[in-house]
Amino acid sequence: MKNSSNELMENVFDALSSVKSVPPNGDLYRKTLMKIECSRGVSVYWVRTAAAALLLFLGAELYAVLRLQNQKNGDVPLIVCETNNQLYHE
Amino acid sequence: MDIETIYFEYSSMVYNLSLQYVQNTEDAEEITQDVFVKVYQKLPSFQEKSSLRTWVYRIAINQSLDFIKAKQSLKRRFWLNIFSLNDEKYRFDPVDFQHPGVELEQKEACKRIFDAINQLPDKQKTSVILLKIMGKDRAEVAEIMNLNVKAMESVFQRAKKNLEVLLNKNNSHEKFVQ
Repeated sequence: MKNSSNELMENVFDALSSVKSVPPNGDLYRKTLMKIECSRGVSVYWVRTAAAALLLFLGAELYAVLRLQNQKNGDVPLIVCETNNQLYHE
Repeated sequence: MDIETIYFEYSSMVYNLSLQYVQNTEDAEEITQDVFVKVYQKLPSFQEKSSLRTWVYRIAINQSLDFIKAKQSLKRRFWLNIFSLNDEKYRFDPVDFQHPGVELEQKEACKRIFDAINQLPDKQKTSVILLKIMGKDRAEVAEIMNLNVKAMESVFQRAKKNLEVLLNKNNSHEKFVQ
């Protein structure tokens, strides 16, 4: 039993050692250089981070403007002159 | 050293190594490109703690394993959505066995062997590929795997045991020796 399993593994490793080394495609260098060139640009990570920061800034601006507007609306009753009812009280 | 020199010195090694992991020329080419992009990006920070050769080997191994994991998770998500498959049963299975280094008359036998190798844990798989396919000596494999020779030898013995189990019982569910 042990011998047959040893034999099996020997055959397996013999088959694996017969796997030949093959040269890569000649065009692969050009493709690799193109990929390296692409990787030199701004990475997607930074584009996403910048977009998120911009959205956050715009959101904060919008919030500030709306808050200011609400405050102005809240001041309206104070600004409107109170009716002078003096005549009627006389 | 510039990227061109490194490419022409190591591209064949990187391509053949990744080919043993994915058994597909298209995927191996993609991995090779990604390896050299990483080498280009990380070259300025290479500290020469190991030789350049060992460093490139490590990048190639990690890139191949990451590629397989990414492909597995993509397929797993797809099939989980359709059939609700149990992900534990899922393993890397190249759609097409297109290994140009395997001779035609040995294609079926080698496909079965590679099917079993694909089911091994990462370190065990790497030890079999480097020792038995790439023909590296034990000391070099240990250095590439960042292990001492004894530990690497033990990883390889476990790989051998698991391969035997997998090849004897085609769809074995026996527990692996981790």
